[in-house]
Amino acid sequence: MSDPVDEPKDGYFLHHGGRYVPETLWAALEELGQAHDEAMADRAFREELEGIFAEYGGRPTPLTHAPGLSEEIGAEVYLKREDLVHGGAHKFNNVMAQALLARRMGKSEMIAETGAGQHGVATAMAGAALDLDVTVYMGAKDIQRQQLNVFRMRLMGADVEPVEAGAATLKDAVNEAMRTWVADVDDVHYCLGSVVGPDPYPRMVRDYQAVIGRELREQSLEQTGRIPDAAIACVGGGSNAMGTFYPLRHDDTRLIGVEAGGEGTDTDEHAASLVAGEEGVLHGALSYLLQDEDGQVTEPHSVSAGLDYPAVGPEHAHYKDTGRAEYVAATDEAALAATRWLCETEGILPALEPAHALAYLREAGDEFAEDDVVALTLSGRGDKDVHTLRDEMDMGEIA
Amino acid sequence: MTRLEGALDEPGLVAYLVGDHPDRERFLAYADALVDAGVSVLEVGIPFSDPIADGPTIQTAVTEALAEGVRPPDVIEAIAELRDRHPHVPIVPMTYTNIVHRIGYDRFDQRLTEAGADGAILADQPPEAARHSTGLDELDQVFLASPATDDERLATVTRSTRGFLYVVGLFGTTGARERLDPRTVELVERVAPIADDQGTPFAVGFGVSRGDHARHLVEAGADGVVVGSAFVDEILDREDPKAVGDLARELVAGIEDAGK
Ligand SMILES: Cc1ncc(COP(=O)(O)O)c(C=O)c1O
Repeated sequence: MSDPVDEPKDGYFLHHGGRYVPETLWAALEELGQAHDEAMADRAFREELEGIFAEYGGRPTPLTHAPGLSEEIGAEVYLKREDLVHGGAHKFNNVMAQALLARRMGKSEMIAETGAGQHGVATAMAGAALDLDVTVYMGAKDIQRQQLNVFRMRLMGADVEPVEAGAATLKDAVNEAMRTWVADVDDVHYCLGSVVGPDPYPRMVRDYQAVIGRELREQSLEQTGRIPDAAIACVGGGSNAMGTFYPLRHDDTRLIGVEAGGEGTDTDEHAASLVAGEEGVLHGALSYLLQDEDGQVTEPHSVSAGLDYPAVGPEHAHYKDTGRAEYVAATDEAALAATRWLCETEGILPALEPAHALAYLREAGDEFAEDDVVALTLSGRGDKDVHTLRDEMDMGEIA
Repeated sequence: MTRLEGALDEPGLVAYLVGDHPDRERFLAYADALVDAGVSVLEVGIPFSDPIADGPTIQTAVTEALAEGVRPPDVIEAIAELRDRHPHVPIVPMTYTNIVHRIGYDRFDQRLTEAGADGAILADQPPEAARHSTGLDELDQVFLASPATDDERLATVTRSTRGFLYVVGLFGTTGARERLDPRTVELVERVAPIADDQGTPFAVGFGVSRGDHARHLVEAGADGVVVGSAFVDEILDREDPKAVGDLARELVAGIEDAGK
């Protein structure tokens, strides 16, 4: 075990990360990395972003003590309420910051990929708020499955481009967004939705999401007198988890990332790239991914569309290899049951993504001591999932 | 001197096909037609599930090949068969990093060298990323430059490449274009002195599809042109080796007309 690095060097978190991209994107990534560094060092940029976070986004989000969960688990459970931020998910933090950066760089247009539509809707929202044109690439199959989010994107003035290539899902939407970016790299900003992709995206999106962990740490000190003993978050690409973990990395806090276990990590039907994937390169980064023996990337499965991605951010790969964070998986079934658990126990409907983190908490409750402060990032609200929930629950999968 | 190093001493055509597409037999027939037409380098694609540098034509062929069950060892075998048939033409597999990472750089290097390949092109691997791996040894790794590569970086990439420099002529993905983008010609004029200075030949690809394109580019200073999608389009549309050979002859004639 070794300490994780704080910042990547030449784009690498020791071994993972990098920029595996067509040459045409090299200069754009270089420029983006510099623009991000300059923006973060610029007080005016930070203040403008904080203003947007507060006045438009409703930050800081509360850290809510969950008495019912605490009693059942036998530890002091707190929920970091990203479900209460504007738009209903942590995605807001990243898209508003990237939109502000894009404007600062003189770009007039943003493109984004989306799977279920959450990041697409958030980007459309940011584009409308900060006056940037938005085009969202979305797999044709996902468009059919997520009509409502497509409508929401269009309502906010975004163009939604169907992607027919491959399996016509999220990974293909990322491919197409990258291809489009290559063709129009001077005018367009690619607003990537998680801590994935080539450098500087993993560190940039992390920096924008780190507001979650900073607030959480401070609020925990204020409300409980201590820094959390454990922090739990779900991991798709890994942005809400890294946003939670990063400000706690030098503390004596257990960091636990929960991936989508689908039908079980012993089957082919899951999206647990850290728990059950192998090292490889996808979408510009060397990390862990789901692939076959030849290196062809395989289709992930999860009941939660936001976790349905075959790779994971390289900084998580680094945290896994250094042992700084633990990674586990929760199944579809456990996540569905945990959704109902939170509804009934605390009166909060979580999104299916953080329901995976809740499922882990529920199963692993014994690991925590009675006075442990356990913080769980509730990355989004579950309104978007009610159709799925109704269908799954009608099928009697949970009693 | 390897087969690849001398390949573009005279301006020539670098022709790309997707390995084992539509099947082994027809792939070999198309490749034979290209060699008969006088190509200088054969580039053979190893299908990858997520080809981000490729446009619709090559994506379609790659998806078809994967659906037919074409695997990297199959393409390596096809390359060995080509080497048997054509002892002299340089053969360069083209793929993406993950395929190589998965097999292992050493094994990829060794198995392709044994099959008779001379170099490798990884469309998503700039020199910096290549240096992070154990790298390829026997195979000459060909690096790419693009209109977004400034002069300083161009000099670095040119120093890193082996065999030749692959110049991506436009902002975009692979795919045949009707017209030659004037910016492609400007790029060639920018690259020529830098590449010549280092004694490195360069070939220009992406969007090139006709004899007159090839002639223009070589007249502007290129040592070769790379054509892929135009051949794959012929294969997808007509399935006629003769049409593939005819197009290659048109391109080779265009290059020769430039009379460099
Ligand atoms: C509510 C919610 N949580 C989590 C995720 C997963 O993304 P990440 O792992 O980047 O936080 C998503 C993605 O759509 C989401 O909508």
